[in-house]
Amino acid sequence: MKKEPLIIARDLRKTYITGSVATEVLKGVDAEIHEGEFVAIMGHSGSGKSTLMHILGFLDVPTSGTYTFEGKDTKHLNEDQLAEIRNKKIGFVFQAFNLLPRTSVLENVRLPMIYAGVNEEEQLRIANELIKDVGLEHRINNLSNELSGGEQQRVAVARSLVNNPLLILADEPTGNLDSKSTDEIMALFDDLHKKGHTIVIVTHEDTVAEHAGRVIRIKDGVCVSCKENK
Amino acid sequence: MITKGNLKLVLHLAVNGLKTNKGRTVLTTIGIVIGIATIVIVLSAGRGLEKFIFKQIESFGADTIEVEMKIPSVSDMEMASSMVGGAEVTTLKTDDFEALKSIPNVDNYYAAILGQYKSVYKNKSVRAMIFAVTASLPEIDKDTKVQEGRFFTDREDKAQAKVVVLGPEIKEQLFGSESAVGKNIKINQMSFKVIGVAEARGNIMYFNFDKMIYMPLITGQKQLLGIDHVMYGFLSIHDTTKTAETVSDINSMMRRRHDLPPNDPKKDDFRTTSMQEALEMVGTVTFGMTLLVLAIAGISLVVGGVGIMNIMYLSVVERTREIGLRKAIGASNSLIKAQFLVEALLITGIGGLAGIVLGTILVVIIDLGAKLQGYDFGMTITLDAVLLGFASALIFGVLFGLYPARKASELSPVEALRYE
Ligand SMILES: Nc1ncnc2c1ncn2[C@@H]1O[C@H](COP(=O)(O)OP(=O)(O)OP(=O)(O)O)[C@@H](O)[C@H]1O
Ligand SMILES: [Mg+2]
Repeated sequence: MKKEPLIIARDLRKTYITGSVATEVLKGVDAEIHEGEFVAIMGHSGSGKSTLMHILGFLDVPTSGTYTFEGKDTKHLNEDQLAEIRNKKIGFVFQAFNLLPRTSVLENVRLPMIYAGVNEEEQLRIANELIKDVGLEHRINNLSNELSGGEQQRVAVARSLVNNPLLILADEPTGNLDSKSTDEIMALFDDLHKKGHTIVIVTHEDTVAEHAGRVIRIKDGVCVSCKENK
Repeated sequence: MITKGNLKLVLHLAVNGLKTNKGRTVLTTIGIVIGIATIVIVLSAGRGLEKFIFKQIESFGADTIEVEMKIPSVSDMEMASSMVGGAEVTTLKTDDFEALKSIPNVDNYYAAILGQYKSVYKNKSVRAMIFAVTASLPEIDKDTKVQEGRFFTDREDKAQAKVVVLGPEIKEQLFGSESAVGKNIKINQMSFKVIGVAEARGNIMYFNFDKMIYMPLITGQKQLLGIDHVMYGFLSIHDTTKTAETVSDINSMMRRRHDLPPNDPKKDDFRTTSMQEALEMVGTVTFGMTLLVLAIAGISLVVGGVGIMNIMYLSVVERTREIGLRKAIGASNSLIKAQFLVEALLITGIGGLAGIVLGTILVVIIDLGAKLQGYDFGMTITLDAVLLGFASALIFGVLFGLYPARKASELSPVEALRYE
């Protein structure tokens, strides 16, 4: 018997209302992602990839449809439960890095563990280890705004991992990076995948998508090839 | 929101939040410092002014009654102008005061007349106010003291002795650092011996005692002015609870002595004012002033408060993106609110304390400056000013630091992150 998918999206819709104009960005997305998969999401700019990622990462809610995570419907989760899932189960890597400005690398990486209530010793141990894993131990006390884009994204990856999340969501993590930094970041994701993490990554680049085991395409607000092909 | 368990964590977040926004933290704190210092200074100045006025009145003594000459059946305004025009009332005499002493509640009196004469020592001269007064002045007006020499005696008064006591400023102008006691000065071409120098008193109700020359009453009347009446006198009384009765006793006796109708104050050639009455009158004025001070304090509270409110509000609204990011990585709403609450408490608490210190220092400086200029305002830092200032800093700061943080924390992480 096959294991239940980690993520089951059914008829997800998202409508943005700007003034009197309603724009339906997602028009019924159906998708399934299993634990341990490495999935790439592709699609034209404005097709709704980020919108979908935000819903999958509990940063936003769908207008309608059901989102089942770990076999549980997520509709009735309250604010605190959502915060806890974001904190412990999801690692989100943003296209725009989104580090706390003027804050050290160490402090940025520690932040999710502070919210998780991890004890200080453990916080420092894990943060140091992950900063080393992304090759930034020489930058540990630098402020985030003193880093290059590639370095900032590596900090963001380290931050997404500190609470050992079930699911890593990365929205165009290499979109702002050159090919060398892109290779470094993708090597990190490959490594994580090998260790058994579930990874969903949005990208425009075929070379990036090649790292994934499966590519999902969003077109006209619906999903193409969104179930695991057996 | 803040529990024993998460206090350390929240403090860590808040302190880091303030540290990473050093510029904003410093500016916000300065805003609060200025707001609170303003509140403290304004309230202290108001209190000081109130006390200053009361002190001025009290220095005349609450247990005295003044009897002064008055032109019959005219108002104060007319009296002032007719006095300038040369009209004079000459009916008030020392004998009147002697007679008033027989009223049981009256203890003692001094009577006085004023005039202006050129006074000369060697090559220096000043136009000085001559205060011709009975030797009892220091007994009634307790602030009349000599720093050097002595005051004249009743015997010298009766004998029309040509002796004077100089106000300190007159002494300074005529003698400089030279000793004055024992020297002779010329007033209206006559020679007077300086027997004492008065202590400095400053201005009391626009009356500069330091620029006066005191001399025995009869000496002044006979030798200088060539008259035998007085302008006014003060009576000291034993029992201040009977002031009103004593005033009416004085009025009846004066009317009898001056052959005036017993019940027609308009015809009086004198006026009786108890200092208690004056105090009460001034009390109502001071009450008005207290209201004014409160109004000014209220305005300073609003100005300071609105400043704090704006600066807190803006500094938190500016951090909406940061709040979105914190939520995205798993901060609960209550932790976000706790962090911003503690940040607001720290910043307004520190700013408030610094404001109180700054306000206090400024008050001391202003007070010293005023003292150097000869005005003893006695500006005082009152506890209510400090508490009011501090409480308003905390309330405004916390309210307007927490409110936008709360609003931002209620946005979804994506909405907050998208905030510009
Ligand atoms: N808050 C919003 N209000 C209104 N419209 C929005 C909002 N967020 C996104 N949209 C619209 O939804 C559509 C999809 O946006 P989304 O960011 O999901 O696209 P995307 O596929 O990630 O594009 P890109 O590849 O450029 O990142 C766009 O047309 C965008 O203008
Ligand atoms: Mg996008």
